[in-house]
Amino acid sequence: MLANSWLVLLFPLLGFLITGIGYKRLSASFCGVFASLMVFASFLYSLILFIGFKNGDSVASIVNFADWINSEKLNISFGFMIDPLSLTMMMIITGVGFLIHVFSIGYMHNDLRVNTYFSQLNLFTFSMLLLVMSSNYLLMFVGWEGVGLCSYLLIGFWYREKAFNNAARKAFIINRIGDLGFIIGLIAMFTCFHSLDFTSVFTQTLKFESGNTIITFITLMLFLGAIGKSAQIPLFTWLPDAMAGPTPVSALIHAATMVTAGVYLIARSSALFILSPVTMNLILIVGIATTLLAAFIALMQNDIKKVLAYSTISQLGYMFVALGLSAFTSSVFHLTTHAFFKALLFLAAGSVIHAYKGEQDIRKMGGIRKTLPLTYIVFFTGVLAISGIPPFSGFFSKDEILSAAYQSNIFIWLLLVIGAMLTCFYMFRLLFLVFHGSNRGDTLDIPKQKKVMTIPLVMLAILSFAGGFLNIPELFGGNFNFTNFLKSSVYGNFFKNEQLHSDQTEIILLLTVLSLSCITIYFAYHKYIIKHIIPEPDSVQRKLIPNVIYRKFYVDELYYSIIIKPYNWIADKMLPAIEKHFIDFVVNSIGVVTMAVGNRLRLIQTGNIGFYMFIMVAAIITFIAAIVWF
Amino acid sequence: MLPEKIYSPSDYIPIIIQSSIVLGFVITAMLLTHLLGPKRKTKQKLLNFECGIEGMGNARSPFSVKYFLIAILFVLFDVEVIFMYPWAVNFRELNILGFVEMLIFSFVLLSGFVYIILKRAFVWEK
Amino acid sequence: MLTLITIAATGIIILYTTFFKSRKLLVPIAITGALTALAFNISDWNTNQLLFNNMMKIDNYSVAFNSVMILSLILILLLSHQYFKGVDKNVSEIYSLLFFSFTGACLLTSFNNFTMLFIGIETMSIPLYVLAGSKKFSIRSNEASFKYFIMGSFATAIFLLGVALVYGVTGSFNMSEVSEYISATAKISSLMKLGILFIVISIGFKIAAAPFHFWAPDVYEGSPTLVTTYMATVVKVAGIAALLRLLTGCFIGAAAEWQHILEAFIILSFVIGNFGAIQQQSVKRMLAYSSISHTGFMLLAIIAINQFSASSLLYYSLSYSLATIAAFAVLILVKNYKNSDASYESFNGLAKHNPFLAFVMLTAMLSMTGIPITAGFFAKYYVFLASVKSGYSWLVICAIIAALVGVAYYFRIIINMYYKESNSEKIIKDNYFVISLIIATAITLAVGILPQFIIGLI
Repeated sequence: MLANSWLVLLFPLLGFLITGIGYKRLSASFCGVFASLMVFASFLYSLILFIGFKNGDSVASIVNFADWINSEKLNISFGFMIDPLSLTMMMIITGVGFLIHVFSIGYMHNDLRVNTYFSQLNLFTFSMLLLVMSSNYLLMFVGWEGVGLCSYLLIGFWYREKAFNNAARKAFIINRIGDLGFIIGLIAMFTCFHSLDFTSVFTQTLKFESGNTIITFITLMLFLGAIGKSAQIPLFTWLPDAMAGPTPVSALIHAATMVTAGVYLIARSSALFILSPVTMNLILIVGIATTLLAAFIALMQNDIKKVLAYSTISQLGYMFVALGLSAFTSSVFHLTTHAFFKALLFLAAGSVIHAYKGEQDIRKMGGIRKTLPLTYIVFFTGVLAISGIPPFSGFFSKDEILSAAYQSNIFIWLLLVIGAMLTCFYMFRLLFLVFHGSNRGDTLDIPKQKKVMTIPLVMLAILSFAGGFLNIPELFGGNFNFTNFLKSSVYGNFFKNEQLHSDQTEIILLLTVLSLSCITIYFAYHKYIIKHIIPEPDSVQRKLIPNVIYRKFYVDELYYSIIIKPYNWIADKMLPAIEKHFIDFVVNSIGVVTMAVGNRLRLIQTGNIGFYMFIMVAAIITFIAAIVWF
Repeated sequence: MLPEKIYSPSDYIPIIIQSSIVLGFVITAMLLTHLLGPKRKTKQKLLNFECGIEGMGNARSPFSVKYFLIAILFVLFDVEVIFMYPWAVNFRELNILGFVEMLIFSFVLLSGFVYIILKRAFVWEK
Repeated sequence: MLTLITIAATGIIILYTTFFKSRKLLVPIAITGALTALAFNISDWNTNQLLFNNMMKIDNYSVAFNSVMILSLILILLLSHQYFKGVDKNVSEIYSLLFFSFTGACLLTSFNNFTMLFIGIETMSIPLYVLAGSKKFSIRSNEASFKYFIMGSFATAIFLLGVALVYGVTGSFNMSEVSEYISATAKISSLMKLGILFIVISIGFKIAAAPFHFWAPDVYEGSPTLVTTYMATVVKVAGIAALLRLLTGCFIGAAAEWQHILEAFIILSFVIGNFGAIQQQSVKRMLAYSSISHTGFMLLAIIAINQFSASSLLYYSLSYSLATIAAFAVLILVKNYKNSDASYESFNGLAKHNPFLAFVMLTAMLSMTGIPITAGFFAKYYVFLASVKSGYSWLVICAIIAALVGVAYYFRIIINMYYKESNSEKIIKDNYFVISLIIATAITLAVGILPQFIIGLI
């Protein structure tokens, strides 16, 4: 069973190849159904593997499918690591991925390039599975680049729009910075461990002591890769722009799966990261800063998808905080629940956008809960989940992270609670502005919602509600099923609240957070329902602080003036000086000399056979002379 | 099987001697006949043809490729038949296996012959 | 042995199809024969056998190289159906000559005796002289045939002289005995050195290594393109495989002697191959020069003479053969369609109306240049690896420079195909042709992604 785990990869690959090659001939409805079925087949096989694990039939193991690179020192196998961590990721990718594929059938049915869309979506699924299943860093990097490519292709899916293309490029280029870090990390890792296999590297880490410089360097570089992919400070600016892609893509790639690859990378490499306190502290700081910054920006955004994008960045920040606290399982748990509720929120937002014929500005929406009751319910579920209201899934996962933070430092806990309150506020702001009040849109035309779009929403809503029950803490009579399941895959501390603070403290903390959240929600209710405040149009002059937040802390502008502008300036100055007079000159001279030599040499091929024979004999005599001489 | 002796260029002296004798004999013989033979040079004798008809045109006029074809085919089959000599000498030792091998060889040779006939290589006028 | 018999018998059978006026059967028969031979060949895997009183030795080395050559042969046969469409006389003879020549090529990978090596070289070459001139009424073709014949017989004479000298020193034609002799004697006699030199030179001639390459550009250009394809792939691979077999199996003890000769071959091949190719206007002639340059790369594997030599040479042969066949195949179509001289300009705008052909050519060119993910990348990588292991870093540096120069002329075609405009139309190609192109391209890519399947074989 395990030996055939490559089947999980095969199905999406087949889907990609068939829909990709036959995109001109196959019908759109076939492609959608076929692509979805392929992901579903993959999901079923992952489920079989998972059940095998649950029943204890199999243990974490490396499945070598084939040799990939075999040179003397560098030996890379095309192998898969099937263990709780990768299984969790596989289940998320194929499960949530399948629902999003199905949703896409309805969402994209009017698009001309729907076949291309599905083939790219399947390619993404394949790459993402490769990323999480591979048994070594290099193969993982292949998947890593693969998802980057698919992200680029799908952000720019509507490529006729110049802004969308720019967004795709921005995502790609910013990701390159992270990828560069990843590669450097891999090279450093190879020089240090002479291997890129997970098992080999992790076994060798036992020989190193905490704080080792080379390990710190490796982890810092890997972390840089994770920052790029998971949109953390300072490389987070691409994710809001990435919302240019179709909404199901935002749900799958830019919320549920790809952006969590960085979290996966660090969780997978936990053996390395716990050896480097410096990196762990940096992860923690970056995580907290990202959580708060993104949450603040989300407060003032008026584009429904941008709000969700910033909230994604903020939630990813939470996961990084957990990683930085070495609570790896908590991080993966939050990753799982986040995949459920964020995919749900995006798809529901997609339904809303669909209903508004492409309008994304929440100032032009409102009161749609009467026309889209189902969407309203599921969206509400998602909002409750992300706000951490019990017993929705987000409550459990966020609570774990908060407890871990409290154990470490009360100050971190405080900052995270502020983040949670901000989350409550902007999510309820979104909910109230879109679904409550009066309708401010003018192009409202509600088509009958299709089953293919509603069923995935309902499924995801159920998951968002119940996902938290996977890991019920002991406080509520659970036994940390999920943590225990994951334990064997990661190193570091596990979330065990009973060790440091009692149940009583735990309950007090919970109630504090809950009451603060409720107060925030009331604020939002007061502002947007009772007072009917609508966000001001762009043209209005804002006061200093709101303006800074509204302009997203001027991060894009900052990057423009400190990186892009000097870069362009240097390029402008260098062009005539170095490019023309030096590089061009050297390159052109090489070309000219080569051509001239070629011209001369060509002439010895006279076509005269007597001359050829003469040269041959001369050459033979020269060789004989050389032999005699030496 | 290693050779008992390491050969050096000087070991080939007998060969050089033999080839010089062979060449020397031919050259000497030709020179001798040339020198010793009687020479009666008349105008008639120095003419190209003595049969009474004046030489006409170029002697190197092209003639049919058929001549060459038949000649080369003759040489081909003639040379192949040489293989039969060593086989015939060792006929008893090679036994039935050798016989079968020679049959196969002949069959291949024959198929070539049949091909030539079918290609009408021996038909003078088409 | 069954491989050889199948190939030869197929040749004879095809010879007789000329009387049955059924052109349609020709290619299927030929391909069936080649596939049968391939099957027999693969069944010899891991059965080391000595045949004909130690005259021949079938081992994994010969099986692997035979497989590469049979694959090339099949691909060429697939191309031939459309290529010979307009020709109505003596087509079956061309096929049977191909098979007869191929018999010799198979001998070259599995000889264990100088006699067999000689028979192999001659059996391979003599039909080729005829094939080069098979376009009877083309002056260029006749010229090619004549030049090839004259210079080829010269090389044969040199070869025989070399073998005679080696025999004179050792008293044996058997490879292992010669090898034992060399390792047993402390000092290598000058006659032996001369013998080795002559043999290496004559094989160098067959594989078109500079400075014995002079026949190659003229013959490659003049011969019918399909024959050129055969010469550039099967003949070259057979020759280079024979050279490695000879040098490892027989002259390994005298490595210091022939390594210097090969150094000269490699450097000159790089210089002449690359600088010759860069100025050509005709793509066919450019490919001829580039094949000289590829000979240099393959010789790098041989000069290294270590445990990586055979496998890296095998991989290089495969990638080179596939890319060459694909490139020549596209060239045939373009040339016939435009009825032109196969200049770079005739490739203009190919990508627009014939995206498939352009893609095939693109893959072939990238593979020849050595760009990943095509097979050519790992081919060069492994060859370099082998020679670096043996301390030939300076040659590898030269090789890298040569590869860089190669970019100039390979990419010129790509630029012409993708970035230049022209009013070309869709080129008609039959199914055999398409199958051949698909196989060549698919294997190029597959092997480029998973080199392990080939490199681990021998």
